[in-house]
Amino acid sequence: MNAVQPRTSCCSKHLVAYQRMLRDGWNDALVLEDDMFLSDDFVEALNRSLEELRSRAGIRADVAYISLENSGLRPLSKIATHEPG
Amino acid sequence: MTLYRALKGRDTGAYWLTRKSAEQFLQRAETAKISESTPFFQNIVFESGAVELYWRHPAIAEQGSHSGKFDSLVTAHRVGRMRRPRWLARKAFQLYLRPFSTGSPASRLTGHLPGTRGHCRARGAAEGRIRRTARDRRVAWCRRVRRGVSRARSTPGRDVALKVLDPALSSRSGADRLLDEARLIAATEHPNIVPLYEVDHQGDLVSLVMRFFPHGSLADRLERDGALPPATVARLGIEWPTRSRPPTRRASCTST
Repeated sequence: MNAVQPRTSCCSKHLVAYQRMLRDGWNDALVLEDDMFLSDDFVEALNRSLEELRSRAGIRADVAYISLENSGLRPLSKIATHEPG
Repeated sequence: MTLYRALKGRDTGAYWLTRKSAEQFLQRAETAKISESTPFFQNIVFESGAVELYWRHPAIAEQGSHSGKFDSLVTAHRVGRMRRPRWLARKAFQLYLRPFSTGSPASRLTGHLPGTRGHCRARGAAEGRIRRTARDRRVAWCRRVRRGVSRARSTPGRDVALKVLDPALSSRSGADRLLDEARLIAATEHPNIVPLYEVDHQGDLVSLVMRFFPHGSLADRLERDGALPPATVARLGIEWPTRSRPPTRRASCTST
């Protein structure tokens, strides 16, 4: 048990969330950790992004994952492809 | 446009995913021991290509333990008094200064304000790599069209597009995927597929010499003019099967 660290617990909770998605038959899910602060237009902005995900060509929407937070303040220049979607 | 394709994640406090993506994560968890924290674990799946990662920009959530509002339960590291002001200053720079740094969305991705030493160094390094590649490919460099793509003039006087995959900005798997795609294109002859003249792979630098289209790609047109009229889409759909040709041309591919 000494090897179990807080970050291991955090990771396992994400996996439990994925298991619940499969168990309850959810097609998609929004996963939030317990210390999140959401922007005022969070719901509208998320819906806009989901609409873009489904309408844009070249995106495999069935295996998509959208990162919504950037608390590390990483600029877009850090992404590997440098190409929009 | 709010979604940008990425190969590595940033933070895992807020994200949206599909059921198939969740299945992929669970499958990975069953077949391999997880000793990493969530971002590292997820990055393994992203890099395998089983799940496609997109960054939403600008971000619409922030984590209190990152922004300095309170301590994290995951690490024993305490939040210092200056963490919050420093984080807010960095955020203000990204939100209010970076968007006005340059005109085009592509150049905004450089991560440096124009005129600063970092911007000049990054741009100079990128253009230097393209110039060296152009010289090696025996084409006269003309001008950069966009990041990683230059318009060049080949020896017979034909304009070509020189596409260079920057090794500093790409992973090994990215270069391999580009080479696979190049081989597929080289084996195909079709009026709607951009002809590929030459592929060169020297060390970790991959370059493609392709036909140059001065009016840009379909993506450029969609971004410039918006959605195409239904009649145009129908015409393109009709032309596609009737203009097909059997494969007759192959590009040369060199690798060292």
